[in-house]
Formats: sequence, C-alpha cells, structure tokens
Amino acid sequence: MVKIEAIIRHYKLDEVKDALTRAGVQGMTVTEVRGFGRQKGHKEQYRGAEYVVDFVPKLKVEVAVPDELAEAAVEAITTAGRTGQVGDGKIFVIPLSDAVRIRTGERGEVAL
Amino acid sequence: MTATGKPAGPRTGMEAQRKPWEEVRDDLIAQLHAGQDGVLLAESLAARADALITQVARQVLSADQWKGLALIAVGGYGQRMLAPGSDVDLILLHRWYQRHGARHIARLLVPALWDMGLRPGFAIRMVHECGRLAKADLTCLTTLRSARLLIGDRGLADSLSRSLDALPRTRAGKYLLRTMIQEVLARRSHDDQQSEPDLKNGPGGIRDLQFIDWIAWLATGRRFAEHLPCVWKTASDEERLRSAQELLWRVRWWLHALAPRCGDRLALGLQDQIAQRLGYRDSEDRHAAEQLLVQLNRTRRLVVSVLDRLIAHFDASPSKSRPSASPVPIRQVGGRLWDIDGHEPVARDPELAIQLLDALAQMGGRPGAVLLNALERLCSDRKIDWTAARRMFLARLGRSRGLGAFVRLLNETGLLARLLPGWERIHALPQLTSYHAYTVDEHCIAALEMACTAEAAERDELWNELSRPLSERDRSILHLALLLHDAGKGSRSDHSRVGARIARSVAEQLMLTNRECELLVFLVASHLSLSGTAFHRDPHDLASVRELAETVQTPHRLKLLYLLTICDILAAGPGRLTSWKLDLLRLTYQSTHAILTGSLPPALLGHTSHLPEKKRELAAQYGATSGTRFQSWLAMLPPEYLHAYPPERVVEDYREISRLRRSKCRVRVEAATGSRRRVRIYSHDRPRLFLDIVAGLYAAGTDVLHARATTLPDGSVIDEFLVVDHVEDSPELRHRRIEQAILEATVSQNPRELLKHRPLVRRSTSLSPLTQPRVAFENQEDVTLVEVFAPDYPGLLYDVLLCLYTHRLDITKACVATYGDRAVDVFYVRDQFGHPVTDEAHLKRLRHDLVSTLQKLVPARHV
Repeated sequence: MVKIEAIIRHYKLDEVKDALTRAGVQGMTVTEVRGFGRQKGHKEQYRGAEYVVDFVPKLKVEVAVPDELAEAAVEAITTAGRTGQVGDGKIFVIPLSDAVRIRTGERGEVAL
Repeated sequence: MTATGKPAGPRTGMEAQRKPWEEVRDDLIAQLHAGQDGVLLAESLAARADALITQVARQVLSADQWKGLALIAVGGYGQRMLAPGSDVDLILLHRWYQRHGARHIARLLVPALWDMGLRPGFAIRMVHECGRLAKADLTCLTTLRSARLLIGDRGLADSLSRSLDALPRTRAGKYLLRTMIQEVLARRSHDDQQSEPDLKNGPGGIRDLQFIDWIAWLATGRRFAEHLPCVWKTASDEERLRSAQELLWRVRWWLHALAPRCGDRLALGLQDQIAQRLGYRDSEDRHAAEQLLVQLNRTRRLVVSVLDRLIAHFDASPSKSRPSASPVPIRQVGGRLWDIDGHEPVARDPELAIQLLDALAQMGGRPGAVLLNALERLCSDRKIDWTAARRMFLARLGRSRGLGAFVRLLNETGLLARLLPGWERIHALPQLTSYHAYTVDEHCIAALEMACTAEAAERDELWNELSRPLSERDRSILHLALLLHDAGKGSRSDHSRVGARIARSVAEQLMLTNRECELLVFLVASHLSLSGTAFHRDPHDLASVRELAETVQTPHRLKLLYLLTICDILAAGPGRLTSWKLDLLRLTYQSTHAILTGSLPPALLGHTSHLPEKKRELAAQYGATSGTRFQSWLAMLPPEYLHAYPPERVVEDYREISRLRRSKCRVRVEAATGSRRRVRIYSHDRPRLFLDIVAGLYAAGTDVLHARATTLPDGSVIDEFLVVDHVEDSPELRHRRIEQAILEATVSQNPRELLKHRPLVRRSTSLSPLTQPRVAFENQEDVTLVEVFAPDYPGLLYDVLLCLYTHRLDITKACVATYGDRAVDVFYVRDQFGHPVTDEAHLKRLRHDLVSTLQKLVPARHV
C-alpha cells in the first residue's frame, strides 16, 4: 500500500478527481494548502503598492491505494494536473505500513 | 435473576437476562412503525422501565426493608420521557442510619438491572447532600428537579421535593437562574450545525423545552403550565409547543430506532430515511428530507423564540431607557420584554409595526404577547397594503446600525415574508450540504449581518476599503442583494437564475429605480461568478478574468460583487472563509478591476518574467538599425502595453512615433469586422487631445465602441479606437475621410465647427429602458478614476470628455468599452496641477454635470 500526496493547482481539482475515479481510486482527502517550489514567491503590484506573495494557494490531494494501483493513480494525477507551466505541483509517494477502517476494525488493503 | 429469585452476579446468565429491556424497546419500536405518537411512546417506555425496576427492587428487598430508603427516578426518566437510547438515571436516597444498608442494596440492585438489559446511572445520596449539590451545580439541579419516587420511603422523597421547592426563593436560586440563562445562550452559540440538528441539546431541541420549564420554575417558583396566560407567551404558543414536543420526540424515536449509536444528531445520511418513515414523500420541488427539516426547523425556532422571550422577561439586567423612536406607547413588562396596550393600531398598520420592531431591536428588546398577537393578525390580514411599508424597509436597509437584529425580529414575527415576496419559500429551508451550516434564510440574514457588523471589515482589509465610500442607496441594494442572493434555492433549477427572477419581482414591489433593479438582479444572478472564477478557474489566466470582466462590466458592480461574495462565504458557517480563499478572491478582484480600468492585472505582473525577454527580442530584431534610441523607448514602455501587443506592433508604433513632427498627428485606419474600423492615432500629448480626436471620429460619422489611450513618459501618445462606421462608402474613401477629420480636429483644435458637418446617422443600437446613467469616483494615490456607466448613444464619449475638460481635468489614461447598448468608460484624470481630485464639492459638481449630460440620452442635434 502507498499513500500518494499530490500538490496541485486548485482549479485542477475536478479534473484530478475525475481522473483518479476513472483510475479506480475510491476515496480521497483534499486540503487547502499554500506553498512554492521552483515557482518561488512572486512580486505583485496593485494600485502602486508592491508586495511579495511568498506562498501560492494550492490544494493537497491525498489518496491511499494498493501497490498495483499506485502507478495508475500517479499517472492520472500527472495527466489531469498538468498545464506545462511552472507551478503545476508535485506528487509524493509514501509507503504505508497499515490501514484501519474504524467502523469495522478491518486492516490492511481491505480497509482502503 | 436466578431460579431461586436471588439477584444474579454481573456475569451469570447475562445474555439470557438482558432480554426483558430489549423486548420492551423492540415492542415499542414496533408501535412506532405502526404510527404511534412519539410522546406517548416516550411515556410508555418510562412506564415499562418503572415496572421492570420496581420488580427488580422488590426482589432485592421486601417492602418492610425499604424503611429509610427510597429509589428515585431522576433526569429525563424522572420526567417519564425516555427514548430507546436514553440513559436511565436513579438515585438511592437514604436516611443516616441506612448508610451501610444503601451500599449493600446498591451492590445487589445495579447488577440485577444490568442483567435486565438496563444501564442505569446510579448514585447513593442523603437528602441534604442532594440539596447541597442542587444549589452548587446546574446539572444536578435539573436532574433532581424531576425526581420521582419509584419505591421506598415516601417521606424521603417528599423531603427532597420540599428542599428543591424552596430553592427559587433563595439567593442560590437567583444565582442558578442567572447561570441557567448563561448556559442556554452558550449552548446556542456552540451548536450551529443546522443542516444536522441535534434534537436534544441543539437550539430549540428537547433540552430547550425543558429549559422553558426550569427557568419559569426558578424565576417564579411555579411550574410552566401553572401560570397562563403570561406576558412572554401567547395562547397559541401553548398548543404549538405541544406539537413541537410531539414532533421532536417522534423524530428522536425514529433516530434511535434506525441508528442506535448515532446519538441525538439527525445526520444527513439518515434524514431521508426518517422523513420517509414519517410519511413525507418527494414532491416536484422538495425532497422528503427537506420537507421534514423545514417543519423541524420551524418547530425548533418556535421553541427558541418562546425561550428567548422568557429569558428576556426574567433578564436580570433590564434595559433602562425607553426606545425613543417608538411610534406608539409601549411599556416594559419585565426585563427586556416590551409590550403595547391594545392590538388595534399595530394590527392594521405595517409601517407602525416596522418602526416598533426597529425601535425594539435598537435597544435589544423583545416583543411581548400582546404585540405578538397584533403582528400575527397583521400578517394574516390579506387586505392590508404593504407598499409604503416596503419603501420604509428599503430605506432602513441603507443604515447598517442594528439592521441584523431588526431583520431577525422581522423574520421571527413573519413580517419579512410580507415585505419580501418570495421570502416564504426559503423560510427555514435546510441546505443539505456539509458546506452550509445554516438554513437558507438564516444564511441570508447572517450574510447581511456580516456586512453590517465589523465581521467582514475585520477579516478583510480590502472589504473595509471598498465598503467605506458606499452611498446609503448602494448600501440598501447591497443589503437587499445579501438577503435575496439565495432566494432561488429550494427549486431544481439553477438557483442564481431563479433568484434573479425573484429579485426582479421584489424590485418591482419595492419600486426600485431601473438602475437599482438592474444592479440588484445582476448581484443575485452573478453572486457565484467571482468565487467561481477564483476557486474553479485559473485567476492568473487572462481569458478567465476577461470573461468575468465581461459579465461584471463596471468596476462599481465588481466592487459590490466582491463585498457580497465575502459576506456570502463568511455566513456559510464558522471557518468557511479561510485566508486561502481570501487570497484567491482578492487576486481575482484585482485582476478583474485592472481589466475593467485598462491596467495590467496584478495576476499577470507576477508572470511578467517574459517581458525582459520580449524586450531583448525586440532589440535584437530592430535594435541593429535603431541603436540606443529604440532601446531607451523600449525601456519606458509600461508593462500593460508591452504585454498587450505583439512585437511587430510595438516596432510599428515606434516607427510611427519616430516619424512624428512636433504638434503633428499621425493616423492609421484599418478595416475590422463588418462596418467596424480600427483607428490608431500617434501624437504628442497636450490638453484636450483626446477630446479633439473623439470629436474628429464623431464628425466623420463614426461612434466609438472601445478605446485605449496610452501616454508614455516622454509625452508621446498612442491611442487606439474601435469604431462603428455609420456611413456606407468605399473603404478607401472612408479611411481617408476619418483620417482627415481627425487631423482637422487635432490641428484646428476647434471641434465645434467640425461637428456641424457630421453626417446624419441612424442609431445602431436600441436603448434599454432599464439602464440609467451612473457615475462613480475612486481616488488612487496620484490619480482619480472616473467611471461612467450609461446607455450608449452616438456622441456619448464626446459629451463625457467635453464635460471632463470643462472641469479642467486632464485625462492620462482611458478605457472605453461598450457592452451591447451600454457604455462603460473609465478615465484616469488629474486636475490642472497634476493632482487627483479630492475636493468633495468639486466631485459633486462633476457628478451632477456628467449625469445631466448623460440623461439627455439622444440629444436632438445628433439624430
């Protein structure tokens, strides 16, 4: 099992969600986050005042999937979340040691 | 129980002996399925619990062994009201000499009750201990208040009852009353999930019904039902409270029956199932769950309203001053509760009722029973004319102070539904999403409160800045839009569109002017457009922002839309407006504002890294022949210009500017689609230049649709116009004529003479009767923005420019646009000393002159 954390552009959420659903991913968690990578912070100017925006609004999508689905999920996020511009985001794949469904107490892949 | 009749140990035969209580519950749940009333079931379950517990108690001790001991039911069980998942709370009272005996009995009794399937809360107390606990702790007091003897020494039970009955007359009783009121108010602010109401502890739930009894008892020493009629409750309230109790218990029973582990919160996932069980069916415009929740919400509101009036009546800090603005004599009937002496005037006069409620809201007062009866009669009388009252309400909407409390009183008393046609359909309507915490009407009123209180201003500095200069009338429209923005909810169609239709009908009833009606309809119809672009599209993408700009059309409408959007999100529930969302909304607002005012959106300034590259490319392409002069020209180009045009156009503009001789003007005319032409003028800046160019265009028989004027730091001017040509002739001739007219106008600088020869043209667009001219100002650091929004007519731009120059204002930049039959022009102006116009009197005169000019619509000389 792996947990996939994807930092994506906020307006790409619907496309990423649909792509993940098509790839067979059943559930996901979405969080409003801010950050920057190579995109860096940028300067903005409005009505004469210049200010630096350090962190750019992004969304973090988290899904836990069996190993065999991991590649398809990453591919789905990459394809749906890409614009080709700096700032498209990142995907992190993290090994999971266990998962528990709280309602039933089931563990492992059946709990995903 | 064992076969010998002795109480069994906790583990012996547990599975078999749990059944009696389970059987009792199953039997009553079967009666629930058969349609039995919730309150009767609650009472039946308590009676069956009585039977089981006394049976076990008799088996533990014989009748004569109960001397000095009493088994007491307390809490909800003491009130004879139990749901399948309710706790069964018991107290074993004992006299001093039975201390050891009581412990022994408890050791026998509790395991036996567990074996029957009950899970009792159990305590052993003496009477004086109970009295002490009741004085010190509210929970103990309310639990003991319903104490009821099950078996044992009646004298003990009576003495407990006497000690509690004396409490309301003591200092401790008054302290407990204050604490209880605080507890009620604190509960209300903590539970705001109206989409998943808590039937027991939520506002207007079963606990609040109990609070009505408890507070009435603590305040008067008498039970609720014993002192009717009273000043805080109407006669009809009594019947309604009984129905409320029945509904709450019926739903609670179904909730416990279908989801035993769910507690008392009516979760979204269970609402439809329970609604179906209660006989609600999906209709054309409402789901069964919505119908149930509407009834439940109205029920809960009634309970809250009665409780609030009770609290107001016994409030320890009554308002001292009389409401100065009260239109009829009113008297204080206790605490913050005020009433009138007779029904008649208020029951016939809606204006009087509005003034009276406003006066009460201003001082935090609440209406008493007589006034409520009068208002009820007023609302049910269909012959009454509400026209004047609606006008009064609209005027009141422009003043923020105390507006939220006033509108809440109007909603609670039913007057709001009479003032705003269409309000009734969203009254108490649930929003079955986890995003919205409140019902539709609560949400709309909360949004209004966000705008009236410091809430939105404190959360967002931009909101504060934009809302400050609003006129009272614009504020009225904004507040009305906040009340109506979700009025279309509850239908299966797009709620923004349905809401816009309702808004138009309300505007007619409130007799808004055409401009105000149009603004209101726009705000309601487009209330999701700003957040939609910000959250679901790329606010850095110029096409997305332009699309929004085309919907919004004017900076003023954008400003009101931003104010509405922030309040709408704030009022969805606590924590809904995150700084993440706020950043995106601000960025989208600023980008759209920049487009509407002809600047480069800040969203793109963050992505102007390509501009140096563009300059290098240009220098490489043309620099070899031009040398440093071209490069210094490139250096002074504003980013919005450089961003807007392709390299070949920049080079072309440079060439044209280079060919200019002093005080001369160069004109280029190209054909665009249909009868449209694109005209570019290169010149050196001077006062009235823009006016002369427009006069030339106008004299040539064209009308300006869009214009973009750019003045470079060295004084050279590049103006671009998209015009519609009303004269049919060969393109070459027309281009020459237009060029000639502009050159004549700029050289002679006497456009009046030229205008006499303008060809006779017909209007190409029809005027919208809904559009009226509007002028707005916005002062920036070194310039004043003049925004003109008016029905378009031939020569409008010329008239506006003439007016601006008459006021000795220089135009440094202009963004002229036409949307259908409406012209939206923004001018960046400075006074003759190069400063922004800050003198209020001057701005007032300018506004007056511009509006007078534009109200002429189609001056006779032009047609």
